[in-house]
Amino acid sequence: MKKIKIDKTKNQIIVTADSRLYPLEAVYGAAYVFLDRAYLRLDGNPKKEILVILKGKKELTEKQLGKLRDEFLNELLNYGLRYKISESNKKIREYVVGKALFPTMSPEIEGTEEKDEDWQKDDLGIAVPWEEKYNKGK
Amino acid sequence: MTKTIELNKNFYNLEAVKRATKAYKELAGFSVKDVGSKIKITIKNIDEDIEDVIEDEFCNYILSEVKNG
Amino acid sequence: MDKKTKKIKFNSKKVAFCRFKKLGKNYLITNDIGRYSLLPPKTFKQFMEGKLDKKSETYYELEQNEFIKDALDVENLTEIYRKRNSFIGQGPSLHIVVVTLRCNYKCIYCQASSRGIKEKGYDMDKKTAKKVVDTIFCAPSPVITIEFQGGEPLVNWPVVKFIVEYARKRNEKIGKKLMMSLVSNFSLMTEEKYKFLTKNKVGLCTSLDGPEKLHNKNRPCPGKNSYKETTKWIKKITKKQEKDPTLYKVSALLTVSRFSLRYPKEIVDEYMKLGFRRIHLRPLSFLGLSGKMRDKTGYSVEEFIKFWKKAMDYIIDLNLKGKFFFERGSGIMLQKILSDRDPHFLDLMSPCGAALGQMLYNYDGKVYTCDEGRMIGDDTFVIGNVNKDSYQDILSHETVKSVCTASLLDNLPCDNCVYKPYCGVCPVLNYALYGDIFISLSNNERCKLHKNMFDYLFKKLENKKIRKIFEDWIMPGNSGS
Repeated sequence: MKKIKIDKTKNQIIVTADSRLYPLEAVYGAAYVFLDRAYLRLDGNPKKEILVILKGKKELTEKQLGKLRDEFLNELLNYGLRYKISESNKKIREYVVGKALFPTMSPEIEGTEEKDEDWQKDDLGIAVPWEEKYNKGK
Repeated sequence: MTKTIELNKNFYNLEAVKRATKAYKELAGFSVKDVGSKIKITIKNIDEDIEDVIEDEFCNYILSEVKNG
Repeated sequence: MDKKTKKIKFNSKKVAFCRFKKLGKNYLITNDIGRYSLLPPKTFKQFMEGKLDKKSETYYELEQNEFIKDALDVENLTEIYRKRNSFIGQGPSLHIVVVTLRCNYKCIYCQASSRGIKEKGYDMDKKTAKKVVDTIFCAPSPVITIEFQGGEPLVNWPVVKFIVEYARKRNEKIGKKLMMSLVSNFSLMTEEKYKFLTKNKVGLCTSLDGPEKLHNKNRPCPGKNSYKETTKWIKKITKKQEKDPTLYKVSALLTVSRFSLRYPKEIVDEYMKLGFRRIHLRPLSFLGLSGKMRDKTGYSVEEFIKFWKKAMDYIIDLNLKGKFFFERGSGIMLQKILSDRDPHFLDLMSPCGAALGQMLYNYDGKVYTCDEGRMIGDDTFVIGNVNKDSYQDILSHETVKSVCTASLLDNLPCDNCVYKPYCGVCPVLNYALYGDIFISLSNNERCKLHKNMFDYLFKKLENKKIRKIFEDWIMPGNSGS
């Protein structure tokens, strides 16, 4: 469930989104789209309710605040759907990318969220000179 | 003039705030404190041309940095 | 979302990964292998809810393009993904050699920040040139292109000649597919130089900004008519090529300045008049002098897009009337949309082509991540020096890794964008314009530009006749890069 409050005196709208329907990632995604159009603040509890405050960058009429509200809610719906699509396809995508780019490695890509801090690794051999790679003399 | 911002740590992180203070260092002085569930930011020595908007612009910048990870 | 799609009950068992956006009345969906579909709102909702009629044409099309999750051909998906990203392991294939920064022109938007013709200390010497060629041949790519740039490369003709001869000699033993090209204003071209270049199969490329008045305004040459100097050689080379088709055709590049914006049709007509089959409507990058002179020569993204659309509409119209002529930039985008052959256009790659696809060797031996890297005007994007660093040192430089990370679309807000399979970011441009190699605003100028172009192309693709024209544009031998 969403609650929306238009506060004309503060030139802002406050959207309260149920985090069961709109996870944090979806809220971030929608908020990000509006960064050049409005000033945003996030508050609340990501496990229950997320508050998004959107303030106009210039003075907005009630009608304009209403339009901002509608556009933001639209984006929230879009990002909610995008999040679901992404989450439900995460494993298969990781498998495909891993298999496509590293065909000689095990197809089970474990711990893909781990960061490789070893900057010297060059698994694709881009830094290996031509002569070394193809055993061709000068 | 001094302004104070409190940000909810559920949505903003210290790393993003620090990156933002670095980007804004020519425009004001910042002190950042981790206070329980909040990040408290004090803004001092604000360039007078941006006094009215710095709080909001700065928070937007932090939010964009949170997304960038 | 609109009324028809507002309450979608997403079916996680039926919908494979895709991105979407509303484009006009329809929903555009794309996936990781660059397949796309334009669905009316009702069909989009049915697709998302897994309620499409399996016997329908739409279902068949979506299934073939790997949008239906319980019908996914994972092997096919993997193979196409690999093909579309095969550039990643090849190493740099384009090697730009700036033989001099000196130039006899004073282009108002010079992105190379060239120096005056009489200035000293801006020419590459033969010792450095030899090291440059030796470094180039260390690259693992089996195809190498050496592109001479400047300033005006013909100003340092002895070194151009040296590099051409030395590279050919080195390649006799190594056996790569070696291509070379020279980007020149042609004002210093002579019959002798032309003979040498054609004998050694060096492709020739020049700048042509449109009709005489416009070209001369953008690209003044003290004491000369730069339009006449350039077109004199365009006509000569074209005539020679018509007599001997084994010779390379001359190509031309356009740079759009503020003064160009009123003349989209006239610019296209000029290219056609001189026998070109294509044009590349390139916006200013606002690097180098073009950045400093932005107030006088620059324009907004919106202004450029308006110009670009007018030119594109005109070009499409010419094609509909039977005249074959294409726009290179769109051709490159369309190749990524309509095929799995990567056009190797470094601005539209993820990660971008910096060091992975191209490298730039400056007159003093410094190596930059890319052409844009040297346009910044300082050493931020220097990754080594041929006079003291090995190829391995250069490619292992931290800046290479940083730029790769900053251009990997999967890490960025771009990951949500419907155009992600076809797009790219430029960390160098982000740094120059916004002070950060990472794109931090979802609507930065390059992003706006690409989105507008993709919107236009996808809308045009709905027209069958125009789609056929676009398919002809991307035939091998015609398109892009």
